[in-house]
Amino acid sequence: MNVTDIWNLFPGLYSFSLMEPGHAIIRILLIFIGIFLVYMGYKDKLDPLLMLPIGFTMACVNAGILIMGEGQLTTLFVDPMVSDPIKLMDALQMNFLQPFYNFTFANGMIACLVFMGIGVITDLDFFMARPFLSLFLAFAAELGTLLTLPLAVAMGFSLKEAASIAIVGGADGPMVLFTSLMLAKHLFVPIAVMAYVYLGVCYAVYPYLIKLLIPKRLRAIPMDPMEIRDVPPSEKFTFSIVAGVILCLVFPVAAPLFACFFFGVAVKEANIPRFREFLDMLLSGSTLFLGFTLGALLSVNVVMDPRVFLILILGMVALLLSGIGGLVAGLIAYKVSGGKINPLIGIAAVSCVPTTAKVAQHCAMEVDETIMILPQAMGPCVAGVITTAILCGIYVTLVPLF
Amino acid sequence: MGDVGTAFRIILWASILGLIMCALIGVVILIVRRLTSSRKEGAEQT
Repeated sequence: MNVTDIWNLFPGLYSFSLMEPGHAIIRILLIFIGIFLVYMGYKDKLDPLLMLPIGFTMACVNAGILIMGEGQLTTLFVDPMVSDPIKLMDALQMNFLQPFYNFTFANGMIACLVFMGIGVITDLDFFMARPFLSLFLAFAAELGTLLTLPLAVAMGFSLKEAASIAIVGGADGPMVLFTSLMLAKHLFVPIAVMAYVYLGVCYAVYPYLIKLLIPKRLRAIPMDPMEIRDVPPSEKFTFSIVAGVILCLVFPVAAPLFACFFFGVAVKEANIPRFREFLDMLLSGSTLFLGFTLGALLSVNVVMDPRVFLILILGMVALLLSGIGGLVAGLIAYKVSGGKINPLIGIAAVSCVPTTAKVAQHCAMEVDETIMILPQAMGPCVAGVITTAILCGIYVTLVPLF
Repeated sequence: MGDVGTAFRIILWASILGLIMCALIGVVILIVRRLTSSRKEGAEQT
């Protein structure tokens, strides 16, 4: 037995010697970034619901590279690039996440299931009580979704690719999955992964953006929860059915997303405990497997695509622009209301239910521990889901026409 | 590669359509509110 044979006993380590030095260094870096994301999730600095599964699988998939067939470097997690039917059959039998990826991920089903679960936890009270204020804030918080499109085109992406990247500004993972599947399937993996990693980053970056744009005294403006009109469940139920049908009628391409979201809301308002419990569990399970699969997709082969770096920058720009749009609209609402509205609820309009609303509440509590703006922040947060879905529908319908 | 001018035309159209759809959603909420409140009042009178 020589040294090479001993190396062969540890294919994970041996595979390093078969890689180009640049790839090997990035592979090691990805393992450490994965562990770092797990740590940040554990410490609650980034959203633990996503960072824990993404970070852990990302570290494992990059560690667990082995040699298969004719010296081919691969993993036993998932191969997102396989499309040939015979190779796909092999991959389905070998890679443990391949069935999950092909039958729930690549067809957008997981996005719809997550949306159904989000519908069940969505509280429509403030949105229904102040619809035009919520929708104004939410539309302003789509600044990144709009401005990133020409920016991405200027950086060399096609219109369809640019629209898929720009929708990251809506801060709704399922929309990003859906848009990239409809418009730029070849960029689906890097765009989807970047979108979800950034949604976690919202948690960490937006507080600094708030401190930069909103003066401390304005962050402490109290908003009385009792001011919110008591919206009866029948009103919310009727709205969910009517709005769902109208949006499906206007944007059939995004109909699965609208249908799932408003069905979730309808289940909540109809108060059917069995359905509610099931959809709550479904949301937890879908989020877990979504994060787990996304992390597995973050292998060195995907990250080494040179366009990933550009998508990374554009994703961050889109989310920052949307945050700025929301906060500026929050300041306008504060002025117009004569100082009654806390401008922090503008950041919640970026969507990413309920993370941004929690960020708004957290930033307000840093100034005054007794303040409670979460119920009001949930209004623009929900409106943000609707405006992102509308823009997703518009992009998917409009872009192929140009 | 796309054309930046076309991209701006798309976002202009998207903004207009988006605003119309947001207004429509707002109007739907108001109509639903009116309908459910009038039904409630009717039930109370009965």
